[in-house]
Amino acid sequence: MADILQAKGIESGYGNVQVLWGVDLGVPQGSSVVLLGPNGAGKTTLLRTLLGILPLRSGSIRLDGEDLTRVPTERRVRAGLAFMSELGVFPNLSVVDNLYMGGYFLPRGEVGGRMRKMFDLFPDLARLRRSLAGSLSGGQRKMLGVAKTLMSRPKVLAMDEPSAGLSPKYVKEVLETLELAHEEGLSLLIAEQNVLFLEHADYGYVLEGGRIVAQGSAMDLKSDDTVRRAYFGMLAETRPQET
Amino acid sequence: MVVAITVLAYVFIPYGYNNQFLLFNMMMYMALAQGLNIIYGYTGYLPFGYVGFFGAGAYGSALVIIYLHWSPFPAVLLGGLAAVLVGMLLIPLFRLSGAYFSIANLAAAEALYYIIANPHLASVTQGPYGISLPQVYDPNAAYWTMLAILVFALILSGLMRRSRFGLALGAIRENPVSAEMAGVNVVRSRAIAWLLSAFIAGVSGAAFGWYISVFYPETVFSLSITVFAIVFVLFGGSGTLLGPLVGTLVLYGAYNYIGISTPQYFQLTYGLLIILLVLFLPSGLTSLLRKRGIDVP
Repeated sequence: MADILQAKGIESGYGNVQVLWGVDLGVPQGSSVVLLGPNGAGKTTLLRTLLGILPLRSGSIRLDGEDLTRVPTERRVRAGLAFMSELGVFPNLSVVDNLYMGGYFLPRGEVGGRMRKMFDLFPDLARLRRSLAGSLSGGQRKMLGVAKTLMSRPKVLAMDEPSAGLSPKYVKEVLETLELAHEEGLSLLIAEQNVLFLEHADYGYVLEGGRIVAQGSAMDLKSDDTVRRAYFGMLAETRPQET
Repeated sequence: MVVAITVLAYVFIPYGYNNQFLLFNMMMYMALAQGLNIIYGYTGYLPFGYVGFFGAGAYGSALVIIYLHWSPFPAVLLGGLAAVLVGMLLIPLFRLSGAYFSIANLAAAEALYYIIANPHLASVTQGPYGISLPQVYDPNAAYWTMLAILVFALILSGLMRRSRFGLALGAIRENPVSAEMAGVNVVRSRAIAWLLSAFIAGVSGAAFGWYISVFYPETVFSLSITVFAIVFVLFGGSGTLLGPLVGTLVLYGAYNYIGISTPQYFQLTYGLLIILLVLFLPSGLTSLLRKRGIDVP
């Protein structure tokens, strides 16, 4: 399978502090890839660098054959790289306006149909379409974040900790929606601490101290010793019967 | 509809009420308030030096009338372009945020004032001695030009509220990084709003210069012009089409009424009005309607 998103030798950081040291990462077409790693490993930094929110110090980024290394964020998004994070929604805009913003660069004729599709996918949002995004609950806001990013029909969707701050019920819902999006042919890159996401992924990377320390198919990673020690320890707290 | 009512008002009021200068000023402030609304109401940047564009417009048009013998209409447009030019020079100011932007913009307007008022440049700008344009003096034509400018400003502001561009500006105001991640070219969108806003101030300044036809640098770079426009926008409610109109009508009306009837209490009444506004209606008069569920255009 060809990689739709390809990052090579990524180095990046904040001010004098370098965080990423030569990270190589690929997202195969139509797959979902999980980026695991503890706090401070550089997961968010990596996603922000891929999107161009943080400047790249060295390395290269390609999406679907197009070189995005030196292209501003807004053009990377237009090329099909979408990013969903905590801050993705605009709290003082209504749900509908948020979705309009999500489809900002779609041709005018497509926006309506795409929005109906989102409302089919997320009936909750259809009900709340006139409410301000800021008045939604945490889970609903995350749904809106997903819907807003899907509006633009991205090729690759990068997500920063979609499970953070959510109750297990919502985590399950997010996972289900992701599978749905996955069926649409979307490729996913998910930065997570929650190893549960490995169950739903095809491939995984483990990032530590700004370097990739392990990678492999989701199956292999689950049985990998390093990963077991580092992450299934955390899982043990939530599911003691499995250790 | 808002536009139609405004036009009818300014077409017919002169027949019953003949203080044309007051009506002219009222239109001018409505246009300025609307222009300020485009940059402040839709993007959240508050330019304290907004008058710089006004002065640049007045001087730009006056100088081409004097030296190149242009007729007033193209000169007014050129005044607008002069303001856009100044606006382009000031685009780097958007690296600053909040109060820093406002103050740097104020400094820029002051700098422009000192350049124009500099006696050493008197051979070009007439320096502190001011401008006089007897050759094109025609207050009636200037009045109608100002009305056209106001209509232009209203239509522009109304379009922005409804368009994708307006929505994108709202998104930028909320969170520039997220807006960029939605595919908005933040730098360009902001610059467009800024230059449109500058253009409106520029043509307003040019029409004003034409109307009074004798003015000094301190007349058209007077800080009180900015302050008035800002207060009118805030009083009426920023980010709406109606707000700046209502704000100008009420406050500029009150300003003239008090100024004529009881000038000794003027500062007192005006100050009180503004204090009451800040305390009880921080989002402007139009927010009263919005609270009742009435959608304000």
